[in-house]
Amino acid sequence: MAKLTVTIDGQAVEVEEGTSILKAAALVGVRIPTLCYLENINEVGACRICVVEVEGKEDFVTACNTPVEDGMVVRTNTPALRAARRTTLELILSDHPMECLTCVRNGNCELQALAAQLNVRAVRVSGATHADLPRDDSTSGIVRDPRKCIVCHRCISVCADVQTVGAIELQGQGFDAFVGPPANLKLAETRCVQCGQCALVCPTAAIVEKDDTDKVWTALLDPTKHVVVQTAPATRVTIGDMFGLPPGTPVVGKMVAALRRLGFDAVFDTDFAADLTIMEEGSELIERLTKGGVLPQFTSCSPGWIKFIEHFYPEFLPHVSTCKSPQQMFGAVAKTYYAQRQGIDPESIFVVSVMPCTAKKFEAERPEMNAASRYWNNPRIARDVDVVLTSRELGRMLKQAGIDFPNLPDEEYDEPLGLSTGAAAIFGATGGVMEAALRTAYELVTGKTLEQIDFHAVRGLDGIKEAVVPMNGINVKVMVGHGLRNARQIMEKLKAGELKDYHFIEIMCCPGGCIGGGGQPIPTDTAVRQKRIDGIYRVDAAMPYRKSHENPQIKKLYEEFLEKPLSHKSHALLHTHYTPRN
Amino acid sequence: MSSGGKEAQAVELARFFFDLVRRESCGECLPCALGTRQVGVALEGKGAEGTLLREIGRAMKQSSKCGVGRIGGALVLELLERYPAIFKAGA
Repeated sequence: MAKLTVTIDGQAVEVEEGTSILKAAALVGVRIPTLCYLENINEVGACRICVVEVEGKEDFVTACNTPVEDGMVVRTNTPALRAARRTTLELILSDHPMECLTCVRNGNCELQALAAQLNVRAVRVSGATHADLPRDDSTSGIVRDPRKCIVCHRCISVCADVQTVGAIELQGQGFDAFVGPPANLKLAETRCVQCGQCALVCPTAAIVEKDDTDKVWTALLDPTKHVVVQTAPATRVTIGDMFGLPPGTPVVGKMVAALRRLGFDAVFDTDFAADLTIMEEGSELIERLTKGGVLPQFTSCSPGWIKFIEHFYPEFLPHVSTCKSPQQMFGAVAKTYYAQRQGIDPESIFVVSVMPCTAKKFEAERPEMNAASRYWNNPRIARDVDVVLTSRELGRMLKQAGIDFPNLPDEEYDEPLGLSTGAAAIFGATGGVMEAALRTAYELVTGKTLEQIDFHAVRGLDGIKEAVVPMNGINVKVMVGHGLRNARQIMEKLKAGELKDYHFIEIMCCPGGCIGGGGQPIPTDTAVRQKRIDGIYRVDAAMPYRKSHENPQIKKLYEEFLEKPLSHKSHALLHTHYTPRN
Repeated sequence: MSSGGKEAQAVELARFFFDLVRRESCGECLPCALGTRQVGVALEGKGAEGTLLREIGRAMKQSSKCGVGRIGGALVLELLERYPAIFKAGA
């Protein structure tokens, strides 16, 4: 690539051809203000905040998506630019509800931050607004408030390009343009998978998670309820973000301590259920391999991915493992085995999940997720999981309760559903379910001890990863994809008959896996995702048990209750079916 | 074009052009989408005037993504220069 020289605010810098003015400026320490820009995802130049002057050009150009030219002379901070940026921002603010004090993004809003940065002290523009656009709370996981939308296009780009779902688009024209589903549909009436990636990138609160914190506060105060909580694998490296800890800091002990202080009767771990998932899903794979079942088998932990395949590729649902996700396995086990073992009325057990995910809210509400009710033949037991909180909602509850999170002591999960392995922890990162499955499947199939348990080929942020693992004469071929664009690519390959010799494929809906889930702390970008992934593997490496089948509590669960993987009871409680939605 | 003084003709022409800009504004970029609407309100004598309107015109002209907003902004600046009264008249 050719090197170009560009001068930015009097400083010359050499950059590669194709570099944007924005990135070139960053190299000389100039941070040009941006609003709609999202690296590699939304570089559309919609907001016009990043305008700069280029010598020889009459009008301004946007720094985010204008590549530098050799000899270009750029100015980023002239009176005319400051005025233009401020006027544009005032126009944006004139059509934005001034509800900052009661807004869920108060203190973590990019529009607020930009108004501070550009020293806006008054909004002189008034008149027309979009204040009459209706709120859309039709889905279980996500709430849209188009009044707060600044039409930055980030959600449109992430939904269409990163996830290839395209549930929301620019509707209307000119001033009347707004972002939403076509034909005035409610989000629940579209193919939205509720992954929440839109909420993760929204600079304001135009798309947010549905807030279920009040339901949890109410349950915690109810003396007739035995309120238990489960924490998803990925949350142990992300909750700290909301309390000023560096991204990726393992905080599992503090999270347990914090949940106990909120008043939960028992603090359990979804990781326990992740180990259980490996036992069931690994056994299912072995059964498919040995009895000629449908292959390749696809993972089923990610509810956004499940809804995606139900909408877009329903003809391939027989490829998906019948295993419930760890969240739902946990709920079913808590209200059956745990209730029975502890002598607690299953009706009084209230299961709260802390998840990195907005789609988990949808998953918990799926009609078939009432295994405990069927097991006890008791219609008063409604759901296996009663409330799902995203990481962000838990962060808000902890702040509300005045819990000094960073200074909490480390505490341990409760027994019996709190013991887990490193294999379960890595469920939180793309490739982790595959690696965990390989660690167990290898030993179950070969009867030999797996010496090298780190499968580096399936780790990391590459979109699609592959590995071949020899087991008893079979070369087990596996593939891992994350983000629905990659999932779609894999499904197209499957459709074209190119994956006939593959055995097991892991799909995670969100880029990076659950550590990059739509319910995670904001901001979540590529650099943050990588740090969280590093954190997850550090957690794994430090665990006393690192293979799911070695979890003593899982062995006990089978001995005392489930008998063996894929048993009749396992099928009733831990397996599920899917719904074609074409 | 209706009869009347030069000023009245200018107002009518301005409204005609601005209506065109408003209908062409796609909504993809914010200075144009939001500015066009504000200028439209101003042309009804109800919105921004003077300095603020000039700033909106400049932002539209210099920052918009395409010719629609840029021409719209230039038109505002031109009108402010030659016929500043038309934004106040409400006529």
